[in-house]
Amino acid sequence: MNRVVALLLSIALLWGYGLHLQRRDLLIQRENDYRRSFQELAHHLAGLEDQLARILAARSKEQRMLLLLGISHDAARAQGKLSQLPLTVLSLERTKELLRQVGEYTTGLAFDLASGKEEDAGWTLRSLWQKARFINGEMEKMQAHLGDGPNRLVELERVLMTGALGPMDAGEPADPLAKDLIMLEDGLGRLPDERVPLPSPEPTYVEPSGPESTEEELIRAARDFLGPKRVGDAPLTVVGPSQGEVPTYKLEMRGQQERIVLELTRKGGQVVWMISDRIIAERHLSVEEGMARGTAFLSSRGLAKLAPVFRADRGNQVAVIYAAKEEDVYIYPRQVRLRIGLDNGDITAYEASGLFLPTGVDRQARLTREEAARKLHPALQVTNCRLVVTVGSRRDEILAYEFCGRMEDEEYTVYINAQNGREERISRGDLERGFRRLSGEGPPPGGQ
Amino acid sequence: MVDGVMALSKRLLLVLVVVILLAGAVKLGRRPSPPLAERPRVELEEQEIALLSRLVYAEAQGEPYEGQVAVAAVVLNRVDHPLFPDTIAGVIYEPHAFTVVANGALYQKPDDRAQAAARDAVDGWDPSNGALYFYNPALARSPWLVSRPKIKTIGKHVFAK
Repeated sequence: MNRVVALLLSIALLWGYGLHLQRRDLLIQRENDYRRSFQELAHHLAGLEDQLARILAARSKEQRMLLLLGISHDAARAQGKLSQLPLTVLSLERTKELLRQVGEYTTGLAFDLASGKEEDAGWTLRSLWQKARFINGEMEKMQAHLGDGPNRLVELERVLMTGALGPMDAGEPADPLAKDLIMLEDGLGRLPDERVPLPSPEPTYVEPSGPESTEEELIRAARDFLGPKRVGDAPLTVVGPSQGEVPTYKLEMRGQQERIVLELTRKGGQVVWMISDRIIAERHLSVEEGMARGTAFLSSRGLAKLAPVFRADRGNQVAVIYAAKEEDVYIYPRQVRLRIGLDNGDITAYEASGLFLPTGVDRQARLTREEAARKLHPALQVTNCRLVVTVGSRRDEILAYEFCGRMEDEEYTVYINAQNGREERISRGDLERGFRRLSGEGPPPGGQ
Repeated sequence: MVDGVMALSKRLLLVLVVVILLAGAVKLGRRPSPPLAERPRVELEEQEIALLSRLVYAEAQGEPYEGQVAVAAVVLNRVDHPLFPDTIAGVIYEPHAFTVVANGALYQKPDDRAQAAARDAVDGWDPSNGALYFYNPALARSPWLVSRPKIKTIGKHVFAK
């Protein structure tokens, strides 16, 4: 009897020990992954600092170009490594913002340098370098604390996730690494803040003017938008206010077949977006018929100046992007998206926040189509060309010729700036984020 | 120096228990994406959209349809935001960004609705109106998250910047 108990006990002990080993191995594996990301982060931050220091002394174009590319590369790599560490709760906004600024700024400088535009960037680079130097100093402290024990990063993760930071009354978290990271963010905020000249990453939407719509006006606008036949006697109600690019009210229609949600601007009662949850199980219309329904829908809603520019087939539906067309210029930022059900031609989803984006770019091209075409790769066989307002390589709005063409069995779209002839962007294929480009005007006369 | 440590350690204290989504500054919206891409973008591969569908299904099954699209849109808003990773996988697998990734719920097979919602978000719909975070107020214990500027509530989720 005793023997049996002893045997069972040793089996249980062995099993428990086996589990312990397994768990330890998993923890070590996780720690190793984190350590690798951490060391690589430190490596790229060091490279960033080093190259920022060197570029201050660089004179030749060649050296500056190499260093700019190296810096933006290290900034991107450091950002990637940072997001693999279990530090999400700490947010580290200032560190990440600095990496973004360094990356975007140096990429822009490289572009300028290549296009022969010289600007004195010394002061900004020096300020970025000082911040990078500070971060590297803090990283060294963390490296020292990492040497303290075997599972330091896994422990840091546990501390951060459980909020078990140690005695709070003492005013300091017990975990030295957590403290280091907090000091890093804090210290970055205390360094002199040189404004980095970068375009704003945020588009500015403009709210329509006029008085705030009443509930009745909103419901009437929604009914007109959907069409009285589609609404029928289904309840259509204002759900409440919503905040977004522009202030809106959310409305809801609960029909027999579908539940529709719409948001209308508080002023002017214009529809910003609409989505129906109806599942389209059948198909009675061709894609072209569906698109014709979409175009008719827009012109009956006072949006006649829009032309279809991209299209995507989505099962029994078709999604179409329309852009404003003014005097043969397609204004891409001013766009409306439609999803059209190919069973009955109803608009199943609508998105028009682009209509609330002001566009201020000069629409007068300085280059003719032929002049712009001469900037293209000579082997590119142009099949289509249109003049568009789009977002350029520097995230600024530009007027450009959009050339679609073929070269060695590959399709390309090349944007040539219509003011200065700059080759702004090259994309491959005729798909952009799953949307197929619809033909423009045809090839430019002559030249090709 | 000491002030800074105190203030920030206080903030750390606040970050308790299950945090759904974290960190970052504010961006208005990602709307004009496809043909206006601000930088040359790699096409979103079908595999990435499938991953996005899984996240939608795990996080928002049973939610209104526009709530599901909004969850997918939050991921895409993050991809386009400078303070978050710039791929769908990077955003979804960022450590502790989503509870359903940590607990394995992500590996369930998504239904058709979740897939349609992910596709709608990729196609440019954003019922969250530019949100970077969402959470269930009945479960979220992070005062930091709850203090983010609120945009709207859809179903059980609050969407915030």
